[in-house]
Order: sequence, then structure tokens, then C-alpha cells
Amino acid sequence: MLTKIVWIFHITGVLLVVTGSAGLGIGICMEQRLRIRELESFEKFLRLSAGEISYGKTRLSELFAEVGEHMGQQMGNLLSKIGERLDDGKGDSFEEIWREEMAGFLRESHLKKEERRLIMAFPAEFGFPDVQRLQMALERLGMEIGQKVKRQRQQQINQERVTMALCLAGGVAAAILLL
Amino acid sequence: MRLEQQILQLFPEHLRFKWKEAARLEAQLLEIRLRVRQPVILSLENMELYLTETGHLTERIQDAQILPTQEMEQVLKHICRYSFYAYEEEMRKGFISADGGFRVGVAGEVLLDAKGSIKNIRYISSINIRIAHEKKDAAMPVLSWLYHDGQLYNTLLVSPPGCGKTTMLRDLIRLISDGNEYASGKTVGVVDERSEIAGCVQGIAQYDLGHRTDVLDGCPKAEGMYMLLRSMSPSVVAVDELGGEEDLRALLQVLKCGCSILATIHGESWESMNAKPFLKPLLSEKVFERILFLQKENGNFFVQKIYDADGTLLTGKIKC
Repeated sequence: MLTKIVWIFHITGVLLVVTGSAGLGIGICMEQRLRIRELESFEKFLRLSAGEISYGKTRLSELFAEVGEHMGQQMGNLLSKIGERLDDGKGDSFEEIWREEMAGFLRESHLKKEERRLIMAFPAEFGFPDVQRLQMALERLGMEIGQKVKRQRQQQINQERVTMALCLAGGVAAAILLL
Repeated sequence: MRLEQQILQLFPEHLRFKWKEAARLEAQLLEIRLRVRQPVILSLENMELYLTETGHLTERIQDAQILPTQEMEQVLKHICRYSFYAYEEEMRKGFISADGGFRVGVAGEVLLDAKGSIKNIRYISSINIRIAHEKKDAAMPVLSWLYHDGQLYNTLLVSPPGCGKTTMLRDLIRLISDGNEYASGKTVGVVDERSEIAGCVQGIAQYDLGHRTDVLDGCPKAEGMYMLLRSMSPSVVAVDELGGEEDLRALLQVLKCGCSILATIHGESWESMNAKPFLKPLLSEKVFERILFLQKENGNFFVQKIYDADGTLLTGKIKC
């Protein structure tokens, strides 16, 4: 009877270890997917901004409000808030507002260090005094991020398979060792 | 919003403490002149004041703050709302229209394109903030001279800079649009090329231009006049600072359509008007039925003289 109970515990343990490792694999894959989604979202923001600027020479505050309406909820809210702050007449600089608001957003983000740096440096693009060069700068940045997204998408399926296989293998190995 | 508040909002928050006393001058303040590494000068009626480091006003230039380059950049960025690119066209013409209808003249290094036309201005070293004034009922004393049987005469306001042309035009637009004791309200179309008449912010006029006024903000005068004719069927078309052949052609078109004209132009006397080649045909054709010469004395605005189309003096000094 006691042996039977011990075996039940063993099997339950094995199942938990394997399930846990599969969960870890899924978690890693999900994080990757969310990262790609965030990059896509930022790329969309850049392309819409470039369009708004070239079409209407829209000022930053209006630009953020306008583009914010076309973005997903989280990014949209963030952009609208930046737009509101730019227009509140308090006189905070765009760099300050962007840094403060983005810092909060990036705390919960899944982006890599390099990508975060790219986003934080975004206000520097607005140093151009003419529409043409600004539009080009935004499009170039959008393209850079777009290529990152494309590369990630191509690698995503293989990476997910490898991640899941490694996690499961790790789980099974741990289970064998525990037995 | 009060003028004091509007003036303060021209500056970034961390600099506003310095501008509080100056902003309290409100309508007395005509211009704020900022020049890199030079004293900050406030132009008032018949006098100049200087801004000190601590934000006090002084008459002694030795006590004035010398404006650092960085501060100039900060003010400029703030006025442009960190969107220099959006002001590219205006920069090319040498001024920016700031929120509240203030015109900010800029000077610096001019960039030319291959054809020698002005492309932009960089290293901006001087800015001149002209404080916009709204003086309601300023035009009331002259209204009786501008109507005939309820019909508005084509009217031209003439004065040197800073003598109240735009202020007078703004009030005339309001009175014509809302109606007055000489005529009922009329639809007025305003072409506000420099955003000075209406002081539009995101398309909405910050000054009271009356209930029946349509404003084309930031639009070149000539194109704007054609657009208004096509789309808004105005009874009166108002434009500020006529200045070229193209404006003249558009003006004639407006007249052909049966609209009345309300316009301003830089000038000092009847002779100086005749010296402007593009204006000559309008004067010889007697297009303007009323020509008002404005002047300022001891801080008060006056309509110095009113002429009819023949150049006959109708009346002398009228205080506005």
C-alpha cells in the first residue's frame, strides 16, 4: 500500500515537473510573441507618424493624439497621454515627457535592451527642422524595426520548436533524475 | 484666457517665474525682443524696459539679463511646441505664429536652395514677440463712415507697423459680422495668412470675430480669397497686409463677385500709397471707397484721416 502511495507521488511529481517545464517553454515563446507585437506596434506608430507629418505637418501634440487613436489600447493610451502633456502648456520638453512616459511603459515591456535604447532615443529624430528629412528619419527607423520584426517572425517558428523541445527535454531529464 | 496668462505660456515652465512681472504689463507690452547674448528688451509705449536675471523690470540696461544661447533655444522650441518641422513654411517667411495669435519674428542664418530662394533659417539669434491686442469696440467711432444705406464700403486701413491696423481690422470684422446700428450682421470671410487676426489654435479663433465669420487660417491671401468665394459665399472678405500682384488679382475677383473688401496695408500717407506700384491700379480705379489712415500718439490709437475713393478728405482725427 505504502509503495503504491509512493509511486503515485512519484508519478505526480514527474507530471508536475514535465508540465512545469512545458509551461516555462510556453512562457518563453509567449514573451517572444509579445516582444514582436510590441515592435510591430512601434513600427506602426512610426509609419503613421511619418504619414501625418508629411501630409499635414502636424505638430507633435496633435500627432500623438491623432496617431494614438489608431493604435492598440495600451500604446494608444500612452501616445494620447504624451500628446496631452505636450499641449498642457506646462512647458516640459518633449524629451522629458517621452522619457518619463516611456520609462513606465517599458517597465512592463518584453523588448530587449537594444530595442529599448532605440525607443528611448526616438525624440532625437525630431531635431530636423524640415518635414522631408524628418519623414525620412522616421521611415528609416520604421524600416529598421520592420526588418527586425520580419527576421523575428521568420525565426519564430523554429525558435518556438527548439524552446519547447529543450524545455520538455529538460523537464523529462529532471523527472528521471528525481525518480 | 487672460493676456497675462497667454504671455506666460509663451515660455517654458522653468522660465515663467522670470516673466511674471513682464506678463502683468498685459496690453501695455508691445514687443518682447530676445537676442542671444544681449539684454532682454520689452517695448512699451514710448519706452523700453529690461528684464533682470530675477525677473524684475528695470530701466537700467546695466542691470538687464544677458540672454544665454540655451535659453533662447528653449524658448524657441517651446513656442514651436517642439515641432520645428511644422513651422518650416513660416520660418521661410521669417516669422512663426504662436498660440494666442502672437507673431514671433525670427532672424538668424538664412539657408538658400540651389535657385537662391530662402529654404529655412537656422542658428536663430533674435526673436521678436509681438503681443497681439484685442480692443473691443475700437472701431465703433468710425463705423458711421464705412456704411452707406446698410452697405459696407470697400475699406482700406493704412498705417505704419504697430499703429493698430490688425487690432482695428479685428474689431471691424466683429462688428460687421455681429451687426451694428448701421447694418445687420453679414457673413465675413477672413483670410488669416499669419494667424494674427483670429489667433487660431487648431483652427479655432481665439479672438472674438463675431458670429458670422469664417476663418481660413494660415492660408496665402490670394488663394484664400478664391477659396472663400468658391466655398463660403461671404458678403465681406477681410485680409491683412496686402502686398503683391497676386493679392490684387484675387481682390478684383472678390469685387466682381459682389463682395465688399476690408483690407489693411503698410503706409503712412496718401503719397506713400501712390508710390506702391501694385496698389496704383486699385486707387486709380477707385476700388477702395474708404481709406483710413491710422496713427498712434501717446499710446492711443487714432484714425488720423478718412478719405473717399477720390482722395477727398472726409474727416480728421477720430480717437478709437
